[in-house]
Amino acid sequence: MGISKDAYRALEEIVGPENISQEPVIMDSYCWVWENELLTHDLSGFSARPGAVVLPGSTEEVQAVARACNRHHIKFKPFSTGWVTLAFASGEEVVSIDLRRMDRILEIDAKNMFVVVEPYAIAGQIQAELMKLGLNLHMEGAGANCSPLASATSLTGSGPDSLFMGRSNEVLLAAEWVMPDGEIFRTGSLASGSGWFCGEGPGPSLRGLFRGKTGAGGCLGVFTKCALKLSPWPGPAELSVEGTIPAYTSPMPNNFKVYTLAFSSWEAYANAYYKIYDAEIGYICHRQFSMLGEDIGPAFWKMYIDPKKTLDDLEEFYDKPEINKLTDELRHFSFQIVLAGMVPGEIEYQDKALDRILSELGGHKVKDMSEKQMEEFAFLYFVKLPSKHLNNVLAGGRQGAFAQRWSPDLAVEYGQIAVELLKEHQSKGGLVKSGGDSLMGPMSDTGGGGVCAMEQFVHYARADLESVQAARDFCADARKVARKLEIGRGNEGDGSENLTREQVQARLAAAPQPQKFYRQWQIKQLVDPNGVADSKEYPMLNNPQDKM
Amino acid sequence: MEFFVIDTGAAFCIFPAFNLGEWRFRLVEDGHPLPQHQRVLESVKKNGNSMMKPRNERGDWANGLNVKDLTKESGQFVFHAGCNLSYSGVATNTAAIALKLLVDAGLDVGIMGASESCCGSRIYDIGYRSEFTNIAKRSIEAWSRARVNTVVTPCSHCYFAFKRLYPKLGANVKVVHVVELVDSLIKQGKIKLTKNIPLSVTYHDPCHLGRLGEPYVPWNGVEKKIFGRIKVHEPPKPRYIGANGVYEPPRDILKAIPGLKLIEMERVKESAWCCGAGGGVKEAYPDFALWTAGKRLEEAKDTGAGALVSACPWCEDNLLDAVKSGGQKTKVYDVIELVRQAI
Repeated sequence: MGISKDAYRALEEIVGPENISQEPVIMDSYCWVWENELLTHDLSGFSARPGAVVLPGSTEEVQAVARACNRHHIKFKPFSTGWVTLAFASGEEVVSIDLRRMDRILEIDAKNMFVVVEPYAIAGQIQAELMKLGLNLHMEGAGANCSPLASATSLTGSGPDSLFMGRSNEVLLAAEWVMPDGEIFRTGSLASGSGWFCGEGPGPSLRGLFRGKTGAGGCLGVFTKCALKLSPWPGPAELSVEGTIPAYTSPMPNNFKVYTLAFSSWEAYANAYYKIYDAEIGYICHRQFSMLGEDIGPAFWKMYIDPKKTLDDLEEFYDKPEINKLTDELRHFSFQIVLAGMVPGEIEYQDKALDRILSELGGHKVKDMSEKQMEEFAFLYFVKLPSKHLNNVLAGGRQGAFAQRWSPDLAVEYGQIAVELLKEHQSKGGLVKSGGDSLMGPMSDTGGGGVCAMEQFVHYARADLESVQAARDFCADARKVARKLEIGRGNEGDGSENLTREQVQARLAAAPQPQKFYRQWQIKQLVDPNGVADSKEYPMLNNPQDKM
Repeated sequence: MEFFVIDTGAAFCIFPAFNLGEWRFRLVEDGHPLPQHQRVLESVKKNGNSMMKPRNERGDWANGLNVKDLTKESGQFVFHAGCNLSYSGVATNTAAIALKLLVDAGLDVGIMGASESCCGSRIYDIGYRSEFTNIAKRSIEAWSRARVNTVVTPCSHCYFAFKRLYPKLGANVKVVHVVELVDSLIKQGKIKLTKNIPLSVTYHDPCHLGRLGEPYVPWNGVEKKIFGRIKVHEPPKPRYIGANGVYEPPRDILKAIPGLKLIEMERVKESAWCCGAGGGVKEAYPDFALWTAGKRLEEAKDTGAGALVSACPWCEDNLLDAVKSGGQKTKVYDVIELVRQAI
């Protein structure tokens, strides 16, 4: 079907000929992303091409594009930093709206602590500007090169800093929204001419409505601007970056500490989370370094920070007795924490509070992870989040599964099931044998603590069909486990399955609390009555009979 | 359509550029070269230079310089000017200045004059593997006949070709960029910078001197899998990460110039923004090359520096083109030009 010539011309008149394309080679770059080979059943990794791509440069152009799509009965899908398959258009009847020209930081209000950004302003760049003013922003786990606007409006959005700075939906203030019919809707205080400072009002508070369960997903129009709440940054205006790529380091200021903490049981591990929540300490807290696997992770990190070594040297590190010792020390019950003192004396207080928690739970600070180079590497890593894709380095492919947001007690219980299942699948030979525990996630999935998240990574060779299939098999079994335990839809490796619409509907109807998916269907009918916003990734249940 | 799966997951070197290079060779071999590149290819084949100029004028830039002719004598250093500096009116000065600096410092240096051939770097970049090999072998043989020990060049593209590509074809000479040599001569006291240059400058790292300027390390090993599916190499493959290119010598030179202030841009060294001139881009997509250079000029301007300095004539030409097309007043210098002013 595709985009008609008339429709193409109409779009071209809006954005200019240099900002629109239907060239196949260009379209291909809008339907390929890491992990896509799990969906495409071959090694090409390409999904369906969009009908065209347009690059608008302003809200007015986005609005004009949306209206043109309505007139010509074609769909559209916004695309900012394009982290996962969620960013893709569903096919050639869809125009992909690439927002890369809208990359500005529009306003930093340091006094009221918010920043106003466009869709393609990436977290790393925003953070660099904020730090000059003693401020910081929540950076979603996908890392510094992703769009905070996209995370706040359109996806989930916790990260290592969520304990202190909140989750993406929590930091979202007012927003500017080009709706599927082309109307511009301003939410919160923006709608009443009160500026960007408040997501709730005075003005229509629609954050809950458009965010729904897991964000708008690019299926309810285009968010062209938003304001994000900021947090304090008690560090230097600019972090000095030293060392050799990729193991950059940054000298840690005196009012910061970074540790890897280790415990001797899952119970102690979970209790550490609770006690840290209650103590109200911690700036960045994440189970991060375990993501590469309990067996090879420590060897990898030690190799990674050696400027003369590469993955080719992994076995050499793995065989070292001191690495074996470290591996055992870190196995299962370890995570990382960055403490930051906002005022003189606070860092000492936080460190003492942490020591008391460790003493109560039989935990300790891992000495081998506190040597200067590792400490400075970890400090930069967690503050800047530059390298969140390291899982891909092992063999090219990785997928998350078993991801849920819930209490630490439940997280560790479910995590152990995830570990056993991965071990079983690794023994079959198709996957990277990194050890069953590749669990990673933020200590708190929400500001202030209370809910954590943990995700199990499977690593596979993306250029090897057999290995790709082994990853798909693991994810399929992860989903079976979730259904058997009657756990709601988390990230159970959903990015590895091509489902028909009917299959999706059946899954949603069978999930606990299907009412929320019916509610999303109602929202979709309300804001997109003409069905112009591509809805492939929007979970909605359209049969009211199934809502119970 | 045939798909390539370029699996760089195990490479770890964060360096897909050479994979892309192989892809270009394959496209050309399969009959899909870019038409815009044909002029350059024909010029190199016919006249030994990528500038579409007569071969016999190549050595004219050195007229008046009392320097060895290495087609007739032998010498320790061969000064390879490169196509751009051999024929480019303005930038020719850089070659002449640099050579005079080396001669005055007492180095045993000569040139090939009109017999100097294109390094082949551009031909390599646009996908012509066998043509590049033929070009390279000619130079390697000429150096061998002249019993040259070291090649010194003021052109970063030539530097990359000699440093990284020629060793694979049997070249056995040391390769230095002129900034490395001049830096060393300054530190030895053989070049004295005494004149005050009251200028604030920012330095642009050429891709072919920086990221691509790491030396070739021969490797002969095997691929194997560990931990089930992780592909590694035995012995370990050399690590090309862009961090070990030539970054400090030009900076040290600038810092040694009295009165000169060096202000760094945000994106420098291995993170430097490309100027857009190389890789066949300027020839095939001149507007895009200008846009790219324009971005770099903006970045330079943001430092507040009065001038932008580099160590590659291709960078300097493209940046100057962007200055002109943008109606700007930014000065663009080569490091060597500032050295001359400071003597």
